[in-house]
Amino acid sequence: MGGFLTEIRYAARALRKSPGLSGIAVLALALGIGLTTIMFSIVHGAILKGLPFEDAHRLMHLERNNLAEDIESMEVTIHDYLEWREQQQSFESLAAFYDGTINLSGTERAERYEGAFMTANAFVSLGVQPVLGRGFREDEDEPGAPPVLILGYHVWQDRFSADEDVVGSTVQVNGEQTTIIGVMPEGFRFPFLQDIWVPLRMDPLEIERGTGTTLEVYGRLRDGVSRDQATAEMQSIAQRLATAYPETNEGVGVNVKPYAEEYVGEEPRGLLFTMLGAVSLVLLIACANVANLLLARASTRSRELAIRSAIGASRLRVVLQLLGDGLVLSTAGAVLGIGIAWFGIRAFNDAIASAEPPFWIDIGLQPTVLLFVLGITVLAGVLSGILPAIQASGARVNEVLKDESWGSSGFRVGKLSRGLVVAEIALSVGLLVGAGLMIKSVANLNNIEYGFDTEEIFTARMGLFESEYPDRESRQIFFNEALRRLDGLAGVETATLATSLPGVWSGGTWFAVEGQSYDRDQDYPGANWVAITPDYFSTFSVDVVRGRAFTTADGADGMQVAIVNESFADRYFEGEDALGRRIRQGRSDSVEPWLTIVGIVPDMYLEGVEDQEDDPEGMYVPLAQADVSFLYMALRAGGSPMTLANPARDAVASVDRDVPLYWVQSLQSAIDETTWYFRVFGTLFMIFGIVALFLASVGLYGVMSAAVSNRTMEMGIRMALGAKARDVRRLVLRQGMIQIAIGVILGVALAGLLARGLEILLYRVEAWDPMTFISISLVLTAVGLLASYIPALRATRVEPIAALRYE
Amino acid sequence: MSEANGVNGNGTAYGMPLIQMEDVRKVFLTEEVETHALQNIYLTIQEGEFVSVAGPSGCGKSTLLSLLGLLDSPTGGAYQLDGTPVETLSASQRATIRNRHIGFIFQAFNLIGDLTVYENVELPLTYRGLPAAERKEKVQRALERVGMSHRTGHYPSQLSGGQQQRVAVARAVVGDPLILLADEPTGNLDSSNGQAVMELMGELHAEGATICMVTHDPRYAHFADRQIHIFDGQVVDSEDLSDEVARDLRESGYEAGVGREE
Repeated sequence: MGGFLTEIRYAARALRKSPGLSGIAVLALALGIGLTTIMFSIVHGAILKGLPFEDAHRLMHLERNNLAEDIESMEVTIHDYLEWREQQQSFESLAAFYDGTINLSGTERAERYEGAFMTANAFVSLGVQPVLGRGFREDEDEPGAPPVLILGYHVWQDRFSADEDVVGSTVQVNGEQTTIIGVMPEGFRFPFLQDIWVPLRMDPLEIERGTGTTLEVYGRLRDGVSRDQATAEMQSIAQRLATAYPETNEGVGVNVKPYAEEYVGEEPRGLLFTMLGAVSLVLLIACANVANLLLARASTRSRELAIRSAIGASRLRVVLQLLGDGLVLSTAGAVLGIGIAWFGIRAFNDAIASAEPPFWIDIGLQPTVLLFVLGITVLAGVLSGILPAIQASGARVNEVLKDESWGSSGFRVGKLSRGLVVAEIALSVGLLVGAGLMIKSVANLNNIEYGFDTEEIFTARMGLFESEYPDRESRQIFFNEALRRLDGLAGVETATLATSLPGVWSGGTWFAVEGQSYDRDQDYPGANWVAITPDYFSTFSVDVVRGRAFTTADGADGMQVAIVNESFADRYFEGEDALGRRIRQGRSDSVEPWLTIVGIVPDMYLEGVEDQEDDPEGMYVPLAQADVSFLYMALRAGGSPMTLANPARDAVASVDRDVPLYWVQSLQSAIDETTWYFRVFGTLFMIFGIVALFLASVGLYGVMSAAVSNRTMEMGIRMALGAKARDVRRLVLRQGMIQIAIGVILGVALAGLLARGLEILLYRVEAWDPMTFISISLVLTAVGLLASYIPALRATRVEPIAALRYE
Repeated sequence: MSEANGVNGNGTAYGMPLIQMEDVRKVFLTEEVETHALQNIYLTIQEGEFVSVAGPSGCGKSTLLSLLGLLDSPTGGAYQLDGTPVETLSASQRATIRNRHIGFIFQAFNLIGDLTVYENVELPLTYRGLPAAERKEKVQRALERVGMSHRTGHYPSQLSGGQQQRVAVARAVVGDPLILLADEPTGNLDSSNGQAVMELMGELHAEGATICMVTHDPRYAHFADRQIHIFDGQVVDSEDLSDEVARDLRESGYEAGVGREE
């Protein structure tokens, strides 16, 4: 050990003497270690760390499936949940919840929070206790129980100024007087990113079997029970239910999986691990670079090493000395790399903040991450140092000491160096193709032709509760009045209310075309469905293609009408005029009225821009002819849309002070939110690619330079024999080109593998996009040739006489 | 100045001067210090002549050889190779002349380690742009001439020093140069290999090759028809060994030398 420390000291001293080489090596390793650390901290935060509960790995998420009908996952009905809870033995208990926004009013301005409706045993299953007050009592989730509420820590801090007397006080929750019974600990936002919890008070007797709001179910495995055993038990329960209730439960099975996997599913997990693999390639490139630099250095140091061997240093000692070089460099690289990672992680967290990841996803330089850094630092040091160490320690001492090995100019480390460069190029091509696909993907996102205005549109959502707005009429009155006041706001050009926003998402409906017959329910077509007020299209600056927009005359009592988009008209009325034709929502058992199509409008990305499955057919109905409780508003502002935020809140509050606005943002940011991961991971991957390109070109240049200077003698011989400048240039370039060609071919194969893993990050780009593959191969070839050309030019300036060291 | 005409190893009369240097000098400038490596060099080498250049280490004999071989340019003076002034040629023109008219044999052999014996010998012909068939024929002939035709696929590292030098000789003669320039060709060889290489040089000379060889080994210097002594960058004398007596002397000295060594 002492000997090794001595070698480390020698190595540090020697490396200080060549600051240029050491600087490049440290920078390369810092980039490699830094980027790998960023990616690992993401994987660790999102996947490995799991939920911050005791034995969190035993916490399972349960859902239903119906594989016979190709349904891989379904939430659970209240009836199934209760049967499961009753019959199962594998879990300590089974809890259930559904999430939704919760309107808090009655103390000051109304505000809407992300909330969860939980069974009373919900927190018991998690093993988490409130910091103030108590959790739910067993009877509090029964229908008719007095309403209670548990606050999240920061709601308690912000809205109730951390008042400890808050427990026992009452507030309005979704229009119902509710008692606050507790405050959860800081950072607890189970099940996802919740702020408020109320008991789930569903009455199974009031709900027909197979219907009603569906639930998410979770439970903690009992000691000694495995996931497979639990799955087997749940399957047998499901089979019993299928026998007992074939109408609702036939073919229904159960999935049991670790809780966190429900929120970071298989695809994102695959993606994150692919990205971790990809960034490891950057680190490998960095190691190859450093190994090459050390190889070049070792070959110039071969005499020193031979002297050491001659005076008795063992081969191990020589190996340790050279490994010491690698470790000193990687340690310096790690220090700088942690700095890079710190900045990178901060930028990543900022970038994903708007996406609101689940509460347990905590990405940072935690102890496990630092341990990982330590691991990769040692690994990088060994990887960088081992080849030069073995190479140099194996040199024949006597020959080296005699100085020349018989006058033939073979540069023994050449093949190894060249191999490393081929590997670097291959890895870079792989990463760069990935980066190229990402660039194309992000460019596609940035160049979407929406066909409607996104920039100057203010949007927000509001909802009405049955307790206060019990019927359709009262809701219509509220919405009409709210719209009138919003429309009258200074700075609002036009205003509309709609059930969904274009470019973000919309609901869907089954429907029938009049005159068509459908044998089975499955044969009915589906389309996007939006209820809108008359100024919807003018608010988004969209012109009706044919027919007309809705007017105030399209009221509840007027002719029942619909507007369809062009895709809808083309698909369902091909070669015919859709105007005047009739459609009806629902399937065979529908009691909905027939709607006459009065207008055709352009497609407006109703399915959201994020959705890559082309399914753009959509229909619009007048809000006055629909019955909804939750609506978006979209206000066209003359200038910056967000200046309308407070006036809009006030306008709605002036109609009802207990109706808050939420999801307040511009339409563009609402759209961007749905595509954040394309941008964030795309950008991350682009950085990987660019760093890889930088490292590979530095590596290629370094190796070609070293090869040229190590082959100065050979150049001299060739020139003595009559080689001209162009012959020498060609020789060097040819060697570079062979490496580039092999590297590019291997890299394209690697890129093919990588691209498949990245598929879910690609926006309207094929994973095998030939343009990207070709252009990246060309770019890398060009960069590689440039990196070889400079040393090639230098080689031609070799004076043969100097090269031959004549005198 | 020294000039000599005579007969070659076959006893035939020398032809036109192949090399003519007049008042050639070479000055090296390093850190504002002028080093006069060569000065006042007058040298004529006739076609078919075997000249050896001797002198102590650092006297300038290798510099002279590099000027002769157009590996370097003189600082001043005139140099005609085969009647053509060559002292002011461009690098590319010099490369062409080296390739076509000069064959080099180095002390350290200077074979290219990554090339086979065949490829090493072929190299000058490749730069000359000869077609492959012609190259093959010449390479075979050159390798046969030095007795290395059975080792064409070997790499230099697989050969002994003597074998490597024979390959180097084959490479030097493969393009039928006007002159062979040899810089201490036996310097890295043991005496028996050195003898073999010198015999090979002798044979080449006997076949008509013009050779200029730098050596400080008196045994091998006497192989030449004429010996030039250089001291401190200047030619101090030129000794004609081309007559019968001298040749006898040379041969007996050579034999004696070998006998003493062993």
